[in-house]
Parts: sequence; C-alpha cells; structure tokens
Amino acid sequence: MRLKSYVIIGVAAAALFGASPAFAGEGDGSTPPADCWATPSQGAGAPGEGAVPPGSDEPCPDAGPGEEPAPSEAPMPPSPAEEPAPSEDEAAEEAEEEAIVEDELEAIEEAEAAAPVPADPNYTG
Amino acid sequence: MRRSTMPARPARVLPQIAAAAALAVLTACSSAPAEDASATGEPTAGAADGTAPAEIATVVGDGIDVRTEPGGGEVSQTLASPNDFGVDRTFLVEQKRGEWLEVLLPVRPNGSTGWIRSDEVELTSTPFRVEIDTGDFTFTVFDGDEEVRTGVIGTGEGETPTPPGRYYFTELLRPKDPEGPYGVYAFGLSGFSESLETFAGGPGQLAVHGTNDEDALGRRVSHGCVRVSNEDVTWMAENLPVGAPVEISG
Repeated sequence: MRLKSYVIIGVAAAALFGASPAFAGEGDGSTPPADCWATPSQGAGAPGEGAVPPGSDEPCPDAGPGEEPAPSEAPMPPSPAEEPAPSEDEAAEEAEEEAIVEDELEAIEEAEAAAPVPADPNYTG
Repeated sequence: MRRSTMPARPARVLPQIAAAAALAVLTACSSAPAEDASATGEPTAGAADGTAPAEIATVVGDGIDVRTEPGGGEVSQTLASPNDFGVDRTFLVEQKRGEWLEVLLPVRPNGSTGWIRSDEVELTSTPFRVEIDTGDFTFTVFDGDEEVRTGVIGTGEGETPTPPGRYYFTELLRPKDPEGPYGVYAFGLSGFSESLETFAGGPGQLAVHGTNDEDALGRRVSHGCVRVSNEDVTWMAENLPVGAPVEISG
C-alpha cells in the first residue's frame, strides 16, 4: 500500500474520532483549548447550575468561585425606596432654619406704628 | 383695582420730639405733563426674602459709627441720631453676623450698606412690607404673605423717574399744610433721586406721601416721589412703622 493511501486513511480516522489533523508547517501542533464559559451563578465544579454552552463539557481551568464576580453580586443601585430623598432632607433643614429664625424673632418686639413729626418736608415731591 | 381695607389701629400720638429740622423753602411740587413711559429698572441685587419679618435697628445713643466690615474695619461714616427731622436714626437690617448687623443706609448711592454693632441699637421687627410697581402705578402692603392694602400711585416723570430699588421708611412727617402738595402725611425713604442732587433746598430725598391732586394718581407726574391718596397714606401712618421695607420696581 502506498504512503499516500496511509495518509488518507490517517486523516479520515482523525476526523472520524474528533482529533485535529496535524499538517506539516503549522506551528507546534498544539491547539488552543475550547472556550471556557464561566456561568454567572456557577463556580468551577458546580454541577448542574447555570447555562453551559454546548460543546464545553470541561470546566474552565482558570475560573474559580471568586475570580470572576457574578453579575448578581455586583453592587446594585439602590432602589428608589431605599434612596434618601434629598428634597425631604432639604425641606427638613429649611424648616429647622425657619424655626430658629422664628425663635430669634420672637424675642424681638414688633415695632409700633410710626409717630408723626410735624415738619415741612423737602422731599422730591 | 381691588382695594381691601383693614380696620385701622387706634392712632398713636406719642410725645413729640423736639424738632431740630432743617427748614427748607417749601416749593410746590410742579407737575410735568403726564407721559406714557415704558417701565425701567430692576430691583437692586440682594433683595431679602420679602415674606420673612423685617428687623429694624434704632440707634440708642446720639450717633453711630458705620463700618465697612463686621468686627471692625474702617469707619466709613458716623450718622447722628436723631436725624435731620428729629426722628431717632433707624436702619433696615439686611443680615446679622455675630454682634454685627449689616444695614441699609440712608445715604447716596442708593442701596448702600454698612456694618454697625448690635449693642448700639434696639432691635424690633415688623411683618409689613410695601411693594411699589411704577410700571403698573400700584402699591401693595403685605403683612407676611397676606396682602392687606393696595392702591394707585403717581410716580416720577420722564426726566426725574422714581428709581427702582430696596429702601425703607426713615421718618414720618405731618406737613403743616395738610392741603399742600405732600398731603396729610409723608414717609421719607432711605433713597434719593438719581437725577436730582438737590430739590427744594433738600438733598433730593425720595418719599411716599399724600397729595392734593388725586387726579394725578396713575400717571408719571412727580420729581421722583411716590404719591398716594391721603386715605392710603393715613392708613400707612396708622399701621406701618419707621423702618418698614419698601421695594420699588417697574
């Protein structure tokens, strides 16, 4: 059997069993690993949780429980109910200031109506 | 125009202060032909919140130093008390800072302020303020937020307009001739004509006063003063204190 036939048979066998054929002249023959998918709620080794893309049966060798923050753990903006209402605080401060002013003025007597003085005006008229 | 009349308080006749008034030649308030002038001017900057009671400072001694800064600083002027009309010197308080008061001054230029010591004055307050609109020829008196009096005014004519700004009543005079051009009462203002340096031998001081020509109300007829009816100025004399703030706009 000729060498050419052996090669053909080898390529066909590799394709049949999932291996990548090694072609002369293309690097060192190593191939990059399949993409690893870290699921939002799943650390490495957490079986059965989260969506796992098809074809990625292997856990990510570099991913771990604490290495990639889960979106659910990311700080969430406060809900409107929890967020302090700046207008209420400002209104309270203003009310307090007005109360202070009113307290101060309570100690000051109200001025009486003016006392008329008989005189000849020299206003601009 | 809506007018609301509040029950007048009993007239108070306090012991008359020995007047050391500077006698001036009293000239008739000549009226220029009425003109239709467009509204001019804007209130001076720094006008305080009109709804809060105003504080009035009355000098307790025979004079007071006015300084450029609180806590000391240069004495810009010394004002005698009583004033030229024999009335206790009074200021409208604009702000407080510790023992110091920034007050509106009855001097030129209009809107001048200075600092005085609070222990040299007696403080009182008033909920009243007067708003004058030279464009609409109206005045309105407020007691806090409540409008208590309104009426028609006559204002300065073209070459001698009533300057807009924030002022206060400096004294209340009762002219010897109630049927004269100043009417039955005249409230002096802390401001001055900006086109006349002197008038009738005086310093060109503005005033709110009655009149013997109520047909002239609603027009630009004066040399800067604000004219009101004798009925309105009588109500003012019976209710408003010296020191009450007056805002003029138009």
